[in-house]
Amino acid sequence: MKLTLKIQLLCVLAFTLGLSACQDVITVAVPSEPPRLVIEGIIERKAGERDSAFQRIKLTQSISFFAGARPPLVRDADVTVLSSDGQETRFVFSERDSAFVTTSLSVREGVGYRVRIRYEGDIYETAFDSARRGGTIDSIYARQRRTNAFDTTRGLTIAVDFTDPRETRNFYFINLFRNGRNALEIKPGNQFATIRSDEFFNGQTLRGLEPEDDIIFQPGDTALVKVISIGESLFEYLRALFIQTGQGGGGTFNPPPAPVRSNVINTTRRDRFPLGYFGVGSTSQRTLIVPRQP
Amino acid sequence: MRLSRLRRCIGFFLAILFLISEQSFAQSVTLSGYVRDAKTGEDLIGATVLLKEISKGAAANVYGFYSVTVEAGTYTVVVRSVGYKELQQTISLTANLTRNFLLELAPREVDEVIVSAEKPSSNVTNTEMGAVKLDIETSKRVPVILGETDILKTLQLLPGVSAPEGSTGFSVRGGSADQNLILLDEATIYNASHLLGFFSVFNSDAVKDFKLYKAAIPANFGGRLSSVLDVRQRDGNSNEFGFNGGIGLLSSRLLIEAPIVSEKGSFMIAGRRSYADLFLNFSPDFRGTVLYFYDLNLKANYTLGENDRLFLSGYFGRDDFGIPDAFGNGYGNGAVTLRWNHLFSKSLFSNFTALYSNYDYELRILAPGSEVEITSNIITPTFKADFSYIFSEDNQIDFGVEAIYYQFVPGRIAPLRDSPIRPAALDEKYALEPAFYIRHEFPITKAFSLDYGVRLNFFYRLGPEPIRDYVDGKPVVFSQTTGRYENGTPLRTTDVARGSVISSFFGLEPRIALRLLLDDATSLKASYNRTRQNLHLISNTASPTPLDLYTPSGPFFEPQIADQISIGFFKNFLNNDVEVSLEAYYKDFRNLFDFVDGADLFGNNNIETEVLRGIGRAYGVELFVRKNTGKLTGWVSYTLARSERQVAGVDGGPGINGGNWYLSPFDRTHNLNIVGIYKINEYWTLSADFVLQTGIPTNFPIGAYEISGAIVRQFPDTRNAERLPLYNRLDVSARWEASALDARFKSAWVFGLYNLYNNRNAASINFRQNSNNRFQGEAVRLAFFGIVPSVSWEFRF
Repeated sequence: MKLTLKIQLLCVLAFTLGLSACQDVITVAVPSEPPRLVIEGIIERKAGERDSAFQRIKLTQSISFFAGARPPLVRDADVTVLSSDGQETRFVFSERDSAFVTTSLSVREGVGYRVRIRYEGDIYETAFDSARRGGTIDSIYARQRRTNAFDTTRGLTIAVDFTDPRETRNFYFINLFRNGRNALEIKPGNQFATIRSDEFFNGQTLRGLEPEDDIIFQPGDTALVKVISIGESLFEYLRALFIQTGQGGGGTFNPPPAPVRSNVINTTRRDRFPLGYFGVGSTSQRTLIVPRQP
Repeated sequence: MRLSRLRRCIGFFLAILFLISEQSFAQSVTLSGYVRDAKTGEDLIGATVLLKEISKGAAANVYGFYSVTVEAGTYTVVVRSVGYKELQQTISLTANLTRNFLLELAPREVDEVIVSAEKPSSNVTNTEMGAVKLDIETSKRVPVILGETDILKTLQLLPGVSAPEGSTGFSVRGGSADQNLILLDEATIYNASHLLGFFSVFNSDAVKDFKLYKAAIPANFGGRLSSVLDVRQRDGNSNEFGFNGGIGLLSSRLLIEAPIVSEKGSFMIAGRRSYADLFLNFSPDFRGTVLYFYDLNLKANYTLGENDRLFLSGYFGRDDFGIPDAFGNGYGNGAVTLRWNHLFSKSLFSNFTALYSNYDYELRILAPGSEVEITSNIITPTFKADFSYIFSEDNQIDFGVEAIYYQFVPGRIAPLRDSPIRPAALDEKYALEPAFYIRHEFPITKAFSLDYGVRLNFFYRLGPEPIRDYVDGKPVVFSQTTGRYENGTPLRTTDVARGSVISSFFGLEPRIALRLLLDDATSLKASYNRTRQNLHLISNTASPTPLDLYTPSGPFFEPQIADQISIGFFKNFLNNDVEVSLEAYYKDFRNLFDFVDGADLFGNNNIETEVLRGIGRAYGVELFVRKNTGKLTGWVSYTLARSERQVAGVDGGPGINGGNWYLSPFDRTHNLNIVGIYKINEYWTLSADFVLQTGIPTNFPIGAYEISGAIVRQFPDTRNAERLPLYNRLDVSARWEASALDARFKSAWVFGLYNLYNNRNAASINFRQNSNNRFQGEAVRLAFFGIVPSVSWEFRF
């Protein structure tokens, strides 16, 4: 947030100083490399939910920076989740979910889970991760979003009240879905709302947490908020993703960017490491159909 | 054990002082006094007093004081200073004599004909190398953005100095921005910039003299690795009341000076303020935005008697900008200095300084739900004692002591407006840095002269502070499973008591410079210096910002050390009209600290868990050609250089750039500056400058991938492997003296065009997704300025 504002402020400055325009899109040559496997997988412990045995792992390939097309899905990999109590669950590609899915994996407390993917002759693996008890969403509601001089869009945004358990150190990954589609935006400005540790609010209730205040909701829209309690390692990964690769990246006013290392390792050829992450989380979720505002 | 070494040094130092004050040379007499401006009484720093018959003399020190010890006799004394008419007097020396010289300003004639056969050739003859001195009048003629004369912007047009646009610091010979010691009347200025680096804190009306040492840094100075910028304020007219100032598009300034008891003392007070925010309030989008800076410079001096003078200086400056309901940042330097010059004898000059400085910065985050204010300070009371003993022609010994006490307040976090953030304070840090130095300048033969010295630097990190130690002594560990650096496991925390020593460091800083005169207008110079720095500025961005952290040396941070060797060839042509110099240097740096990738700094009390240690090297060649007299003056400066860093990993982890050498953010392969000042007649002067520089190193993405429907930019393992495009720009300006030459109230208009051909120089290139098609990546260039016209008006009474 402060970095984006800094760019905006510099534009104010440049405007004041010289009435000159600030940012222009230009052509520049960037390096490229062969595509890498990208893994997105959090298997969730969703106690009491109807879909508690449904898990999803999405595989795609990376593309060159100026490619201009959506990164392609990977369909022909072999995806298995192994649990520390000896069970193996094989995931199958589903076109409807655009990912590898299973309907027979209910995550249990105290059990470790890890993934093994076979793709194009390489084996990709992680260490065991397990679900950690997290906090609960108390309520979900819609309200008018706050505006300021630089941000004048009006509309409804979704907020939740959330209580954190005092006895554990917790890390959260907060997702917002609008009409079934994930509205996650990866930029430094979102960091405090989307990935949070309980350091500053341990044991307390956070009121009015807005996961994505840039997503406007209309009455009749379905909003789903998931607060997933994750491990510290995945938390650090997501935090690095937000800081390093948000708006900017390479500019003089941002931290020097670096590759954000995945926790998944290519055990066959270490230098052909994958991107993305795999982890186990404990989810509290609430759904709201946005009512007509009085 | 370390303290006893300190005591031995104090003892040695007092012994020297005692011995020197008892010395006397038989049959030698001393001519001493002050060199001053005849009209205003200002001390003329660096003026030369030469005894023609023996070709020996002295230069006036920073207080205008000179002293020459020779055999009794009659001499023709020639006194010169840049911009003044030469003065000649025949003086018969039979006993010690005090004589002050008052010089008159040289008339501004179009075809200057200097009467004497000899012209200034000090760049060839003195042992200084890598030192840049520009008089204020020249720097006022160089075109600058919006007509705001700025000594830091002018310094960037000289060899070996560069700064990226929008940066708060400058780099000297490949060093980082925090490696420059910036002194204003002896007080350290931590952040010499206003408005994110577009302007400096120096109000040129209040500055009398400035000198930048890039190499051969005399032993009198220490504390930073790469350079010393010594800025002296004007004293004020001790003969009559005067004022001058200017009104510009961005800021206005006013200076008032007057005597305190005619010819015995004077004072000067100058203020400057910008007013961009007043214009912003007219637009509904920007209403309530705060954007301003101000400077207040004060100086007063009084002569108590023949041997004593007192000076009181003050500087207070502040920047503030803020966007309502979003973000605010402010910072400021404040310093008060009291100095006492005392002459123990005609040959032993001393100066005692007591100063207090407070640098503060604050950040206000006003995002809903997390309103917080974070304030930090660096408070440094300092005491210095400097002595100069001039005991024969050209033979001078300087020695002295300096003690700085530091109090760092890294951050006090306070909630604003009922936000749920809990108040917290990061641990305060304390330190004491005493230093001793001794320096001897003397000619071994007429052609070969030597300037050597040593500085003894002590640093004590003191309590009260809770200090952590870590398992295996490792604050940073590398995790093979995640492939990332993580915090080391803390073992225990020790609460060190107030005044107890947590860690101590001691080092010697030898400084040597030699000069070999090949003939009257040609010389060869060489120098070596070692410098130490105990204050580390750790920045999480490639370019320093006011939000960066200063941390002192301590248990996990050893002092930074640099070694520099430099050689140079100096030649003057056409009777010293044209100066040419060619210098080459090599620098080695140790104990540079950089952050690990993804370092977490917010509210972090233990930044030792987020840094890696590295080394650096910088080398280059500087060519400088300057024409000093005639209608057309100016210079060409070209630097070919390289500046690199290497940060190896710890604990089996990779370093930055895989542990290989990478370009530092300050590397600029080619740096060409051409400045021309053409005086058409008494009323009009035209000037232009052209800048051509290699783009600064940067990082480009190597690909992209999708996470949760959002596109993430993928960056390679390398650091700074790409470059921004070539930076080039041309500025022109015209100055019109609007009043008659002998008018009491003078005024002038300055018209300027910055970036004449509107070249959009990239300050940075960022990468993002196209707003209409999120799968299309784009490169976006941030350019601060197109063509910027300016008009400003100056006046003087």
